Amino acid sequence: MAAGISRDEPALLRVANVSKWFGAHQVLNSVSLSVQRSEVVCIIGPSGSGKSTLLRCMNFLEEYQSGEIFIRGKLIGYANARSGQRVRDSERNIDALRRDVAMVFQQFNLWPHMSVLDNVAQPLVLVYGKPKAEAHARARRVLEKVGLGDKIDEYPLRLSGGQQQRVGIARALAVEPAAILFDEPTSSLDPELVGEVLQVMKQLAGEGMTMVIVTHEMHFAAEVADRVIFLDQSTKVEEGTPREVFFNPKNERTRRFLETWAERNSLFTRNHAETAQRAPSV
Amino acid sequence: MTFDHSLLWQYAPQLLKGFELTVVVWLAGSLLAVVLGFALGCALLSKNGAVSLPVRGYVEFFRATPLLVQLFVAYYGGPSIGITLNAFTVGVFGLGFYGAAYFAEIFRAGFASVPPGQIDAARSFGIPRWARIRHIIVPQMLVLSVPPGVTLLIILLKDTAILSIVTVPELTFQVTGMTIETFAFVEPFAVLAALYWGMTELVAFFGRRAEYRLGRYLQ
Repeated sequence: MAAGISRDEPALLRVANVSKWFGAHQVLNSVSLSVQRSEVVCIIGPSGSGKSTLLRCMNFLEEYQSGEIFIRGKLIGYANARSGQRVRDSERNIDALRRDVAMVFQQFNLWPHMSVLDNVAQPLVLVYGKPKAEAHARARRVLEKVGLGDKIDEYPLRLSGGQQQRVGIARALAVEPAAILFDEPTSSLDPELVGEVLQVMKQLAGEGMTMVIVTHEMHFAAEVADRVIFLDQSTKVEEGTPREVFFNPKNERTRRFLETWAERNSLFTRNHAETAQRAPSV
Repeated sequence: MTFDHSLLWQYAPQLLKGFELTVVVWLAGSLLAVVLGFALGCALLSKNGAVSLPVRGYVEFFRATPLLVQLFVAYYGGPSIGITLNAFTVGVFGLGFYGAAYFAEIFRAGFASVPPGQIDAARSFGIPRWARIRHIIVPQMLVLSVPPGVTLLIILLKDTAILSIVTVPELTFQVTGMTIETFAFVEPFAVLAALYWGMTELVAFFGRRAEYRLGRYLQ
């Protein structure tokens, strides 16, 4: 738990018993969680467990069929009609709540026809009505912060994956959101480019940014997360501090998931050790 | 065989008039085709069947029947239901309605090929729907539409020749008249082919430039 937060402050993000189906297939089964200001929450779990869908529900890129998601205490996506039945909220209201939570995507999802500077500045212009000069000035500042001050005039497709993702993070930072949602931010990067993105994220965590991160980077999660949530088969199976979840998991499924992960990684290091041992005799 | 230059000079005024009209009909018809095609392309994407299905019917009809037949129906069939149009009007609207069906498909495909992830990103910032369309979808869709669009403009340019059959006095009409009066076929048709070739090359040249300039971000 992040320090210095009064107990009675409402959660910045609260997910309450959210269930979602794609047709007959249930992808989220009554998932609940809450995120306090300045907290870093990592969501881990096998592919297809519903992690990304959960994250996408949190700023209503996906509809959900039951349960509720609150951003600063306000229900996103739905309004209660007089009949008691809930109806989809107006796009205007949904958009207004979305402003509080920015998102960073696995595939970056930059707008390729705009320069790096415009990618970061455009939401400020289109959503907040900022004058272009002001938007560009702020965009330049955040791009410098993520180490891309020299790339502002490039088009995104001319950058490496790691640089593109840092533009994605800058774009999220520029709108000064209350929280940033990261959807597997390093999963589509070449291994040697993962580090530069994680480093920027670590820096943000250190500055007190509220972050919800869906990730397969266990070491990173162990290092920066205040809390780790393990999702499996559409259900929240375990939640706790990194120490609790990684070193003393209560649930059998968590244990198995972490064992598989550790095995794959130790196998990798063992192979390296063997190669190293053999090397002199050749 | 000799190539008789003097014949061409003699008919230069008619040829020039025909050339001018070809360019005017082509420009007006293409403008109509692009604007109407854009609207139809948007309508094709509508989830509301009452909007998309009639437009689908329109596109299928104009793509599945020859332009010549469409022109005959409008020009010769029109008067029997009380619509009498002059040849120029039939030419421009015929070309425009015909081209619009193809442009609708080009724009629809262009819309559909903007990756949904980019729209997700815009939505996640709360960028309103119209701003998403105006600033993220349309600019990219237009770029994707340039290569097939230029090809279609070239086809429409050559199809203006068909308008001679419904008596639009454009270039082919003038040249046909010239052959009837002089019994010379080689010179007029050789010049006719060369003029079309020249015009289409010019369109292709500007098309390639537009493709390069607008699509710089993809290189």
